[in-house]
Amino acid sequence: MSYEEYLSYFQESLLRQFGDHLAVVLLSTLLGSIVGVSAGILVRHQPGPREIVLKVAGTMLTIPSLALYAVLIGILGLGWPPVLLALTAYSLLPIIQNTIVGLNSVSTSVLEAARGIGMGDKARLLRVELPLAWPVILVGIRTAAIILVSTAALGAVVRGPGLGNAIYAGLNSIGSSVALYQVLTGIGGVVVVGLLLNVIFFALARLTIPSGIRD
Amino acid sequence: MATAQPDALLIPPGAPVPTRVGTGLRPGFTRRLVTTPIVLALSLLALYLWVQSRDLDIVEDRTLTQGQVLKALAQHLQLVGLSSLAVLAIAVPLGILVTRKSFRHASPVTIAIASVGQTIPSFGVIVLFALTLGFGSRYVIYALILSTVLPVLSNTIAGLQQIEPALKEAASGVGMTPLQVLTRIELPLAVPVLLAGLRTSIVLNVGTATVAAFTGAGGLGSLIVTGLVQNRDVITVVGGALTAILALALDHLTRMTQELLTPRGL
Amino acid sequence: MTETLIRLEQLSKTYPGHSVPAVESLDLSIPDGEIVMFIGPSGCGKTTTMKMINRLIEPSSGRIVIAGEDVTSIDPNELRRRVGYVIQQVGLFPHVRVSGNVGAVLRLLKWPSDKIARRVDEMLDLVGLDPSQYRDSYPKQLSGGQQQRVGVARALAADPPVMLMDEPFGSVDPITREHLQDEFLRLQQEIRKTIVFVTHDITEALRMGDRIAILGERSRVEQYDTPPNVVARPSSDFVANFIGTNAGLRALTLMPIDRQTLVPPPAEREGPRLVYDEDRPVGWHLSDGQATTRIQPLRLSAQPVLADALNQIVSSQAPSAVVVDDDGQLLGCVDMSAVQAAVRGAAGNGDRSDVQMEAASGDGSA
Repeated sequence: MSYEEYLSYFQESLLRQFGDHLAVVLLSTLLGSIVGVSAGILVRHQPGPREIVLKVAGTMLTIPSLALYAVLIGILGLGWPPVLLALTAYSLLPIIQNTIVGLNSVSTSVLEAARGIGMGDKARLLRVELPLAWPVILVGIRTAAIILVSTAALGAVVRGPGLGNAIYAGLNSIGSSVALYQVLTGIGGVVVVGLLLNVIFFALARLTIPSGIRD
Repeated sequence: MATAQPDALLIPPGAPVPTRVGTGLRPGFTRRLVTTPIVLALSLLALYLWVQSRDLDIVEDRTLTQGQVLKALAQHLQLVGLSSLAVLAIAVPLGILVTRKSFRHASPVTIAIASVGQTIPSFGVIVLFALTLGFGSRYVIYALILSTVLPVLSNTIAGLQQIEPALKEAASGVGMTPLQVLTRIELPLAVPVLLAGLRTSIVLNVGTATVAAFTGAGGLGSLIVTGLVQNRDVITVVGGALTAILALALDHLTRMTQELLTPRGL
Repeated sequence: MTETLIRLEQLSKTYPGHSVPAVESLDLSIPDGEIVMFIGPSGCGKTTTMKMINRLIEPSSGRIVIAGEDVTSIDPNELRRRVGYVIQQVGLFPHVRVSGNVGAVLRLLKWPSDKIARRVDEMLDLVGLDPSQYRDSYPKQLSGGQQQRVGVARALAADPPVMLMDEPFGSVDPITREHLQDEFLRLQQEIRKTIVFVTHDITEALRMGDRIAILGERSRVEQYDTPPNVVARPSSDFVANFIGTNAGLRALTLMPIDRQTLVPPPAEREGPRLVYDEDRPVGWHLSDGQATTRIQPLRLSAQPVLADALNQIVSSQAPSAVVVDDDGQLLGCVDMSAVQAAVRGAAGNGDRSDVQMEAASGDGSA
């Protein structure tokens, strides 16, 4: 079978895997952002809790993905849930770290001016600190998403979503004419998802960062 | 007449006495050194007790013997160790090479390749090598090298590039040969960043090596695979937990080495 | 007697862990519509005292009364929305356009957006920035001086009765600083706010203040008086040293050039002569064979002081300084002997200096 034949034959499942892969990465990045940014906001001024939070997030990132999927199977079973939870856990460190760094690097004179004109703590956070920290936070979210793209591939082993399934299928159909196609398409597809994410984040930066603070 | 003062008198009264002059030890080192191993040892203990507390059926019992587990661990360490050494041997010289003046132009290209390379799933690389080259640990090690060379390479480059040119000029101005500048100034300053990259690489390696189990190279991944295939959660969880503990232990080891080798003053 | 707008009663601040207070039992009354300069050596607590007025720093004890209202315990944010605040680094919000910056307080006060837009334009006009050109710019597109004008506009937007200014012109170059000072004084003529202005520059204090509070350790009030009185009659060695040894020359910065004291330009045939360009004086012919020495004549409407005249005389090496009207036409000259007389008078010739000084300080209130 030629490569074109392979592609047209498996088109439907490949497209679905592509979509699922993108979806699981985006979804876990979104969940990770909500949890991570909130955590960063809460601990940014308290060194003790901050160290603990960063340590925990860092530890989770150190745990190998297959290992984490394996451990989570015990609680969540197979399929989307363990992969989604594991990926969300992986996304936390870059997001929390960048949230903390971003918020703490807002210029003190701007904050003083904000206090001086009568902005309360909540107004200051929402109208001044977060908008100014946003470019850095966005970089953290993007870093997390890129990590997740390749990590998600292994999820196929625990019946998770995405292009890892093509790779796994290639492994399991060894000897057949399409095995190699499967693996190469799986790898290629993941790289394309990565490129697509870069484009998405570039556009997001363009849309959400005012030109006044764009470098 | 100048007399040499013993070092002790040069320390102002009330200042903390350094535990060692030269590289490494910063305050709190001992605490940082032992906390993680203690936590990991306790986790191992907890894992062991948990397994003991469960009624193991035949399959579980046979898989989770001490011999089997240790064998898997040894295989895993071998895979990780050999590939990591190879990664160091390849990435560091390559990183040095790419940052030499003559190769300045290669820089943006390497960075572009690195960005794309970051997204290539290591799972795919291992399976690819297995399909094209064959099964067994040799090819897994090749695949591991390819998958984990990136962090060390990009960090070597970054670590060397962050050194102020003024420093290098001063060194060659004093009469150091380029090789001496490299070994006495550049590399020591780049070590912290380099080791950070090595740490990332080793952790990535431990994780990727779990996939080796699919291609017949053994390792802790084989426990996970057995557990998945036989549908026995206990085995899967033990495999996963041990892998996690191994990764954390190696991460800790590298981190402590990094701290020891970081020149004081950085 | 002008009414007191701000009263600081026994105001103190001791930071936790410190045994010595930063500000100790300060009593001060700030009259309505006046600029009061807080000046003193580094660490004397002048900025701390100012920041207690809008409670960015909470007093350890004492009271602050503004327009008869005790504001020591009210909601600090509410207080700050009624007090204009301008700092040295300006602190404009970089992610927001100029219009958003100027309208910041108004948004907090929940004004309707069309009212905000109109007020923003009004404020930009007031500080000398063309609204149509600047309202949509971002802070990073503006120069330091322009940014500070926006800062002032922001502080004035809600029309607060009180303004606190902490070395607002400190981070621009001296030329821009003088320009901004002049413009601010012109603005104050129009808006008549009550202003507390912290500075470490005695020249700025003498130039801008209606009253100067010289603060010593722990913000102890060493002297609190009008600039002429502080210069002529320092109350202690501390104050005298602070003013500086050239009190006489300093006084020149306080004495405006009076139209009635102008004299005609020298007209001797052999001596220096004014050179005209279409009947506007533009320079001096100092001696034969030399090219014309160009000068920048002083415009009377800019309210130049004797120090400006001295400046011009010294740098042009001419015998007098030239004063013109807004069209550049000659009004008269100030010659060196007039300047010298003024210096002598200020350096301690009792009655005469009082008369001259009081005439110079305008409203004559001491």
